[in-house]
Amino acid sequence: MKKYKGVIFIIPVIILVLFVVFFPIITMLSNSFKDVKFGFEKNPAFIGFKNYSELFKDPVFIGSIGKSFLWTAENLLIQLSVPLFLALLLNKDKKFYRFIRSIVLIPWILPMVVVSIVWRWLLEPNIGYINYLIKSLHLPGVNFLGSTSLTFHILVLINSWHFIPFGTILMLAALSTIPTALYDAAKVDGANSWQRLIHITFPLIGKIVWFIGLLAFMWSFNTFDLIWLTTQGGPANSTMTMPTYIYKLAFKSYEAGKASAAALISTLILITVAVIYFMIFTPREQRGIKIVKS
Amino acid sequence: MKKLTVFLIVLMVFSIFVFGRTTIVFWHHESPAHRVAAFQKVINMFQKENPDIKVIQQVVPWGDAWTKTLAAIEAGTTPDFQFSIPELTITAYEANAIIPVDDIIKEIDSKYQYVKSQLAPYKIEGKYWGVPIWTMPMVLIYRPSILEKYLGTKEPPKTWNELLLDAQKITLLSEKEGNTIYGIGLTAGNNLCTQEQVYTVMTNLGVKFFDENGNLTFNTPETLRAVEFYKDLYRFSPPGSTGWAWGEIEMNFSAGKIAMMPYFGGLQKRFYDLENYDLDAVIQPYPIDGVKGNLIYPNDVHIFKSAVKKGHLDAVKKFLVFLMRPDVNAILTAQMEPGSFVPVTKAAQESEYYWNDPVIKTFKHMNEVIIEATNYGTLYGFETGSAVNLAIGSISGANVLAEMIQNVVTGKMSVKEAVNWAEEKMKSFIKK
Repeated sequence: MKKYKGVIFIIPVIILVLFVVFFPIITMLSNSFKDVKFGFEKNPAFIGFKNYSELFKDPVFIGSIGKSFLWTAENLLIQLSVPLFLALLLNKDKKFYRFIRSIVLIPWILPMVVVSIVWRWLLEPNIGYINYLIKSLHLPGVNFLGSTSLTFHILVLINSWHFIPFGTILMLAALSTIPTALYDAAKVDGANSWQRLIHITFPLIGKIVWFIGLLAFMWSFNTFDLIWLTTQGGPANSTMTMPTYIYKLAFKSYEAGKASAAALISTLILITVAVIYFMIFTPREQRGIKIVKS
Repeated sequence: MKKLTVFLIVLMVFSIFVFGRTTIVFWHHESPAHRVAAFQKVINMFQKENPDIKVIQQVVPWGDAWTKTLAAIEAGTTPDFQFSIPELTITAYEANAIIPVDDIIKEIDSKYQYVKSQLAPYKIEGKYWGVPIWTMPMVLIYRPSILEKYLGTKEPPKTWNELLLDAQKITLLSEKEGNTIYGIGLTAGNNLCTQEQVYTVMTNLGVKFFDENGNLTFNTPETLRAVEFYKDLYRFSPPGSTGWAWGEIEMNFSAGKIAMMPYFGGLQKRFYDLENYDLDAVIQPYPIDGVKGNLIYPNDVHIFKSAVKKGHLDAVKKFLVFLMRPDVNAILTAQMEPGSFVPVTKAAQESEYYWNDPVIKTFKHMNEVIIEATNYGTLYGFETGSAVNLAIGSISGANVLAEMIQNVVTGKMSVKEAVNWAEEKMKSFIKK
């Protein structure tokens, strides 16, 4: 009985995972081969790979794959470097830095709906505050959210702005775990601040950077709310990433079958990239975790 | 004897409440608190006059309307009826979940006289499937003070040429002064707002999506000309409107950054609250060889089959006819969203209940224009007087018109290419 105790305890979780993960994925897989409009028709026709072939003929879909990768890459770059820089800056035990550390969390606390609306107003070209500042410097106003070349990058910045506090707090937590004795010893050995950063700080926060990188990748690739609430994938599909494209297919064009096919492709891409990420970037000490029986 | 009479009355009232009371449930999608309150006001009035019927409103936001309706149909949990728009009614019709309402239309028409154009989107294969309750016409709204300052007259443009010239003049003259006011407010965002503005321009050349047999007739010289005109006019619209939706255009207009725009009349409530009366409207200008026309969005109620099964049909009919009584209809239109929600019957349009509303009264001329516009309005896909091709729901949902305009104004496609692209996209929906 003792042997099966653990299994009994884990059954509710398994059932939950089956319902919220496997069941939707199987439904999605099944719908992707059928002529489904809304998603729950009775006995829809089986159409084989037609949804997939139509997708790959659609330049907007192909473009959305490229944009999703670009979106993720730009976000990762900012979301890993800026939090690290800020954490190094704020990693001091003084009153001022403690205050800054507490307010730095504010963007992270805000729901994405609020973030989207606030930024939409701030970036509005005619009555928005940012353009008001730009124009007051006698510079020409900028079309932030209506430009086919600029809007994508502006949205990356807003998305990263929202993530940075979370990343910073995690980095700060990692930095606080490094014993000060190591720095003291290095100083005694004559290491300068750059050398201390490279040889002590970076190796010891590697695990956290790896973890933040993974989170930032998953969240960035799946970003939907910000894009939908600001541009709906426009102008002229310039911000049409995969999640936005899938949503539009499913809930605006009512092409649930095609949307399922696109969602499955997106899931496969995500899993593949995640596996590659695990294989390449997992810190050595984590790869070799062994459970020691007591 | 007296005691016995009182006892019997109490018993009768009690039994009506407990045993004989029919409860009908409806869904609507107007989630703002003041709209919910207006619905409740109407419900309370109805229940007072009909103590044997209890009415319950349930709010399902527009964003969830399609999925929840279809899920409820699938699960057999539909309400008795729901407020809707043509595309949603078509969806419910396609799902074989609603009943024809010809008898209710006939009764309302004989009592209050429907504006005929409002019935068109709800006629499918010879029968009516939705009861229009209110409608939303688009007109050219403008700021008289801006026109007076830059054009030397408060007289708004009446033709396309005048509109283009006036928009250009206002933009260029104000730009010279260093405080640009854009002559026209047009959006090109990937949303319904853009779609409605574009279609309003298209109606001026009598563009039709389908012929009487449901064949696609979109790619015509008239469509090309309308899109070309939109593109020309767009030059005098604020930069950045490729990313705009309702909020931005309303804000810019209210801030005095836009002089004119094809839009609904609902901004009058905001102006009224701010005690700013610098707002008026004119019928959408049209080319000299064109026609008066504008987009109009009639909102209806469709009745689910479940109401028949539950024996609620008579109560539902009674409630719907009640909603169209001019004093009641004024609550759902003038009080709920003055200028945006407009009566669809002649009786309600002429009723003192409507015109005595303080906001409607303040912007009397504007509202007269809006009421006039209900006679010229059409909705994309329903120009022939009935729903002839049910793919219009998907075409509208996918914002095909909006995307077409985005492609044009961002320079991604020429007008011809964009119209071709839109037609191909529409064909793909029809094929499905």
